[in-house]
Amino acid sequence: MKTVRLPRHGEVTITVSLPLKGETCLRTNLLTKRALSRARVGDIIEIESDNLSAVETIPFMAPNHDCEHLVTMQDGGCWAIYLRRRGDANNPTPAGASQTWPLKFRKGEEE
Amino acid sequence: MSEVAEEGGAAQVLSLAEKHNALRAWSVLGFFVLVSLATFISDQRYVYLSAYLWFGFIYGMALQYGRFCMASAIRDLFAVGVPRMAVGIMIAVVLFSLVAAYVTAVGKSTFHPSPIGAYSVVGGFIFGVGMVFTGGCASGSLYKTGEGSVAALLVVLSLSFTQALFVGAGGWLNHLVPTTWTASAAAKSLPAAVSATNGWYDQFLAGYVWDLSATTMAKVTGLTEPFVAAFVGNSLLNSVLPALFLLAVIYARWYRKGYLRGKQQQYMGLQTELSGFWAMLTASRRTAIAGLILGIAAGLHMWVMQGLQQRFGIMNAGELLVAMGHTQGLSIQDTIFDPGYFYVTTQEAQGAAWVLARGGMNMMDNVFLGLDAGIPNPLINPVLWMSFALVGGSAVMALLHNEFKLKFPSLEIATWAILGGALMGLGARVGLGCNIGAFFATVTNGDPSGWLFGLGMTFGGWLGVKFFNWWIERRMAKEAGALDL
Repeated sequence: MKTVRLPRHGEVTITVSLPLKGETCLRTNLLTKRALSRARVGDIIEIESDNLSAVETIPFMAPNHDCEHLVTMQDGGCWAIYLRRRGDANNPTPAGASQTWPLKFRKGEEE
Repeated sequence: MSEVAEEGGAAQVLSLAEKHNALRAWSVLGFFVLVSLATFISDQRYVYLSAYLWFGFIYGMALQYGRFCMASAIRDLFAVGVPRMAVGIMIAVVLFSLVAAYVTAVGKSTFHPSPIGAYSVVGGFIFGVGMVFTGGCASGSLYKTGEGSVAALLVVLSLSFTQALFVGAGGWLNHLVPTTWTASAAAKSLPAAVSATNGWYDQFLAGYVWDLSATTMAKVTGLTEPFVAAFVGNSLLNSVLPALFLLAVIYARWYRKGYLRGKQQQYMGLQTELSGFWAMLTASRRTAIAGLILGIAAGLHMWVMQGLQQRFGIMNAGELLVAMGHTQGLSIQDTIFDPGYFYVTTQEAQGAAWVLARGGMNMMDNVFLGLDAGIPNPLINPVLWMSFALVGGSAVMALLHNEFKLKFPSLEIATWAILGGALMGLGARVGLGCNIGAFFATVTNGDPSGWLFGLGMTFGGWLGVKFFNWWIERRMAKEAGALDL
């Protein structure tokens, strides 16, 4: 598996890699959404894109999928966005879900 | 590889490529400065064209800096639940409306409201579907062209030529025209040269749209004192309150849950909710700043154009061109398209029509171009100067941030760009404008018709996302294995 050194995070191992250069923003966002929703706790997701609109949007997608945005790296006209799925590997409950916030879940969702 | 600071940022040490990009950026800027100076020296009245140019340049820089795109706003909300761009647009709407209210109150506005009718919803719907297919709205495609996207350039070209061909199209389209439109268009006794009863769009305009009434919220509420009418009627009622309502809906539907999940402190009721609302407004610094600049610049643009019109004693740029000796390409009323504010699409239709006319086509035998907009040479078309400069301003901003990259599309993306661009062109004509002319500039100037266009555009965008979701899921199912998803 590929390892990269990220500022403030040191060396990390990429577990999910999405090479999306040349893709439209919508396609990039939808593929990223699919990857984030399927990521396991602790997964490091790397998304390569040259679509600026998508590069800007992806970090904002992270909280909705219990992920955190680690860093975005620019290399010429291409960007690599690194995200990590939050939570405790021994406790697969998504981060934040057990807090006492008055969160309202839609019918069918687990609280 | 350099780290991008939160929402973009510059590398600490300039590399050779970065120095080249900076040089290119200054070259583009220098070109526009040179155009302005050289034309001004040859004839001071060119300052009217340069005013459009420099506002276009500012729009291009702001749009690129904020990645400001209405297609992105609708698409990101419905496809991935990110409200960043929708929030930025609402910020821009509020600020533009406040500046526009002041400009209107002091009698310096160039804005004219559009007729109110169902056509706005239909046009917005077609435009909304198209912009999701292309991945960029009309202004978004222009700024992305400045970033080096050939796909965005294809969108602009497709949108331009579709409009130019559509406004004069007759033949079998005449069979789709209601007889009431034909009768109403004929009754107006328009010059025979524009053949108002031949062509779907001619009869749509002369036989339907012109019979509708236009108004502003200030007039609807009966407010007459200029400042109260502009700030309360137009700005507060037609822009600020609707924008706040939409922001509240966006917060409740798309932002609140994620915000509360990530919050560490105890829930404090309204205080927490207001903190969340503020966090949503300021979540994307780039978008908020771009919204602020766009809002203020768009308001000032009207003031400057009105001031120049008064300075030169004109009502329309056509008069100025005639006085300067440019008589080719004017409409039969000696007018050209000259809105006096931020606008996209009509000038591009003019540019495409000018090209087609050079190829031997008669592009002036219709109401839209022949009677009103004209097809002046692109080199002296004031509003087209704004579009060219918008692309240039975006290129400068992209180069300065090392974000410029010449990108050629795949065949699939090029196909969607051309197809979606054609839909955007049709939608823009039916809706009498695009996301800027029929939405942004209208809702902010007290014209309720802008919300009708916005409603159609949102629904069209939603449907476009649904379709694309299905299309991409279908494609991804084949590619998922390769990406190990």
